[in-house]
Amino acid sequence: MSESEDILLSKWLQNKLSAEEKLMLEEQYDLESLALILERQKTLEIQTVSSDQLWDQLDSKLSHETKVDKNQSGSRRKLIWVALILLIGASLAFLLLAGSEKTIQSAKGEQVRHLMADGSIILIAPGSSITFNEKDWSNKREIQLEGQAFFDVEKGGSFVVESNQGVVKVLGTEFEIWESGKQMKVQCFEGSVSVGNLTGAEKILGVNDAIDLNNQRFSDVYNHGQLEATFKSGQMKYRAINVASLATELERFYNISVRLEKIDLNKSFTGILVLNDLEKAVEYLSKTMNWEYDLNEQNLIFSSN
Amino acid sequence: MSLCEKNIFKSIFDEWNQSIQRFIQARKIAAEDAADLTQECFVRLWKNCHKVSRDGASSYLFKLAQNISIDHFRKQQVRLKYTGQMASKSEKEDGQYLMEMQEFKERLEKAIDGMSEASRVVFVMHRMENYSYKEIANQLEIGIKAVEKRMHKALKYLSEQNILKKR
Repeated sequence: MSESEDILLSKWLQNKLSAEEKLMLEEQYDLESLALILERQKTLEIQTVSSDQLWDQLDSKLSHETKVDKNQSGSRRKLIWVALILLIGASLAFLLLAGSEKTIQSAKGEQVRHLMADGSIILIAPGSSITFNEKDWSNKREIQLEGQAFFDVEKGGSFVVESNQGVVKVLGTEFEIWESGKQMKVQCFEGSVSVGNLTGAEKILGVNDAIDLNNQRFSDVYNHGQLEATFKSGQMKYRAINVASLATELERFYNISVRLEKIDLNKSFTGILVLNDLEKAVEYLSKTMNWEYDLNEQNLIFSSN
Repeated sequence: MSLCEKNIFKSIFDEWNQSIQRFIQARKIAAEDAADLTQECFVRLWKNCHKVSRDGASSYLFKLAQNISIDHFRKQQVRLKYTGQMASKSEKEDGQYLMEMQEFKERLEKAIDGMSEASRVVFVMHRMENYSYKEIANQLEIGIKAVEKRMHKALKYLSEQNILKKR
């Protein structure tokens, strides 16, 4: 597909097509029907709760917020004393706890969204964790990652994510890291990131770029074709993931226990894992890999045919 | 004109609450949850009323809505209703026409649900909120080209669904 072919329908909608482009589109799409659909769509809108109803509820919440504020100013002197005492306590605690780290972990089958003090957002995929120094965050934005996470980074100084297989330095704003065993994958969604392996080699990724790191060796940079965090989109794409790691991934996303019986563990899988429908996911894997399966509540057994 | 004045704040609420609700629902969040999340956005705006200008309120709200809905459980369907601008009087009384439109509505709901989230949000903002591509790009903090790509994908998806005919 040429670079601009993927926006032709948008241009058509705005009446900005050249005659040649229009011909090309007409070959691929039934534009008349599409125009009719869009014409009818204009008579529809998304259902919402009425403004009046919503305001009534909101108004009482706002009044509550305001009251809290007034109370605070009314007893300001008392507060200053409390603040002083707390400050002394906090300083002591800081001295005692300086250097301590915070870990946030997502359980299997669950994802966790964490808002950092600088406004950066980290979406931690199921069965993964991040560790960072909470107190020193404003000076040192460094995170240790186990597993998989999506990062939406606020502008600021350097932002570094270390995983077991490599280090990702942020030069821009949105990216995702996945790692499993000796494999790692980094996808950049906005801005750019630098990916370094443990031997010090470094690659720069731009928007829509992805790279795999397999046993410390970099793949070529390729286009990931995703518009949002992969695990948010409801499916994960794997390139040559080892089947044992694949089983771990299934356990992580669905919180089940997976056993591989009489299956060659050196085999690898390339394809899609559906994340929101266990049966569909299992069915697809069994077809692709030519495995039989037995799925029973929290237990899944794959076996070779 | 400070946002901390109730009447100014109310005017911002009246101007934007429906758009924010629809923006959140475009992420497949059920209407009632979307209303709760919309409230949360306005409560946060209220708490920060001294920091946000009247002109900056809408982008602040959209940004909040985007962040707040990011991890909200979503498995709902986008629900549509008629705008009231539909058809002529004679068409409104034509049972056959009404039935067709009802079926159209259901198929369109399904089609909108089937779009990727990124495309769905752009489609809803452009087609149901009448935002220009440039405005969408600003609100979502992405390039116009990305908006066009997402819209192309949405339209491509729509054209591939059998929306006009019975299955």
